[in-house]
Amino acid sequence: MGFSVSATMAIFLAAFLILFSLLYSSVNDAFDRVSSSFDEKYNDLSDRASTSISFVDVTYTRDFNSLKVRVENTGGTVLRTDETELLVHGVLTTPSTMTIGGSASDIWFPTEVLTISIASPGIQFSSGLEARMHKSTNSRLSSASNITVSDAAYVLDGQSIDVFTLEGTFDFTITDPTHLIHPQDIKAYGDYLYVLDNGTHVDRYSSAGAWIDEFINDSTDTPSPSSIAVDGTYVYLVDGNNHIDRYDESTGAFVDQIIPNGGTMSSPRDVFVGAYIFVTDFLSGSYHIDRYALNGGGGTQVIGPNLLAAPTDISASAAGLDTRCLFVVNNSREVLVFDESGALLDSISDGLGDSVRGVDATGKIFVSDGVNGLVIENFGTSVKVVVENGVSSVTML
Amino acid sequence: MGASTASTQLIFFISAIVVASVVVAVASRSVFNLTNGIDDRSKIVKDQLTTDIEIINDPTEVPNNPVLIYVKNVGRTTLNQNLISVVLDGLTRDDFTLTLTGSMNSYWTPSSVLTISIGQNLATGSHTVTVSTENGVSDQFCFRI
Repeated sequence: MGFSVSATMAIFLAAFLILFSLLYSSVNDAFDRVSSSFDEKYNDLSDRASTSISFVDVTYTRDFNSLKVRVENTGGTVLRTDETELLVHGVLTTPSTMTIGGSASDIWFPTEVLTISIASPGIQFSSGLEARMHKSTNSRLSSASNITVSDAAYVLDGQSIDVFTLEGTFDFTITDPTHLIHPQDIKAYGDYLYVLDNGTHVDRYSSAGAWIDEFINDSTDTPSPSSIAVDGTYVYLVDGNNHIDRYDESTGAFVDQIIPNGGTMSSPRDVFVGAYIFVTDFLSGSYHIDRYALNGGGGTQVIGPNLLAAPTDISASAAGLDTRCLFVVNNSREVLVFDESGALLDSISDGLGDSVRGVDATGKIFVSDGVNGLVIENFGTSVKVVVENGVSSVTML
Repeated sequence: MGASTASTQLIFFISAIVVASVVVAVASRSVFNLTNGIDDRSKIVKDQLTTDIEIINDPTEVPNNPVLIYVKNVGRTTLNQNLISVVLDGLTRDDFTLTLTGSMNSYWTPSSVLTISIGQNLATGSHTVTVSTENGVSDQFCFRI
């Protein structure tokens, strides 16, 4: 009897030891597993809490139809550029290049600025945007008139040209009494600034403001030019005979008279070239805006006189954009936005006085205003950058 | 008398061994079940702790018609994108198509983005979408069209 009890106890003891060791091992493994997961979760949350990014600037270059986004790693975490996502106008977009300090890098250290370039970005004008007004500055401007924007904003100010960064900070003034006699219209494209001067000729300046040459002076083909437009191939001039003439953009040589007066065009006042040639025309005491194909054909009126009151300047979206608009300074107090078929999308007057003179729309809408100086309005395209752990930042073009 | 005592003791002994073995077997089964359960549960908890997703859409400009929802795997676990569930404005949806971006396009690896395309033209106003993974980790996102 005593031996049976002892044997049973021995079996129970052995079984208890074995099962307890199994159970202990299982619980220990589970605890380690969950504990290490908690550690990882804690590390992830800690990394996330110490991750921060902020936009330096977002610039759209119309000449190249490219968007450049600069973002600084303002947190304490090392990030990966190849795991960073970009959304333009709400759509996930694949960047063309991602560089840090001018060279590609997968690692993005704190305080470093990541430059993201996007070719053919899906930016577009949004009507009804509440936060339209971005910035205005009257710095250095006394009598702002025409404006043109490429890699900087150039504002014609009396006999000089004031240059601002795309963020609206005054940069420098181009003053050249020798060559700038009576500047009437300016257009920036590529590396050059084209200035229609004294109703006779076109001067070319570098983007840094140095005079280069008298590019076009052709009283035979283009007497009394009054407005200028430039694209990657040609310089377009409205001449005193109410024609639109084309010159070679690289040599300045006369190419042809692309749109004669008569037909749809009678007395052109302003021209802008994007995906089409847009002409502000004056007929029988009122204005209308016509649209032509780039070869000068297919002329048609897109905006009638009932919508316009003394339009002083016209600008259009880049040809490379999918959704394009036309921007018209109207009645010296507003900027009307149309689609390319002439349907009115919006009227912008945020921050504008009653002497609005010029407009040029790139990634933002740049307006020169005799009262408020350079006014920058938001275009309405949002840009969002998301890093690997989900931390993000949003800005508005 | 001596032989019968020995037999009785032997029977008691064998019986005791058998009963003890049965008890140990039953206890072992319970302990094995318990260890398996602890093991499985700890793996589930581990997966849940290391899984995290984030809907990275821009809330002001969510693409409509089709509605595109971008979900980034911000955890440490590779997920099966075919096992997600999507609830849009309170209704479970299964009429979506999935696209993966990232180095692997078969599995929803960490840091890759899953694009959920729902063929619907949402009305103007506020909307809510919830995306849940296979292990119950979810993210909710409110946006305006």
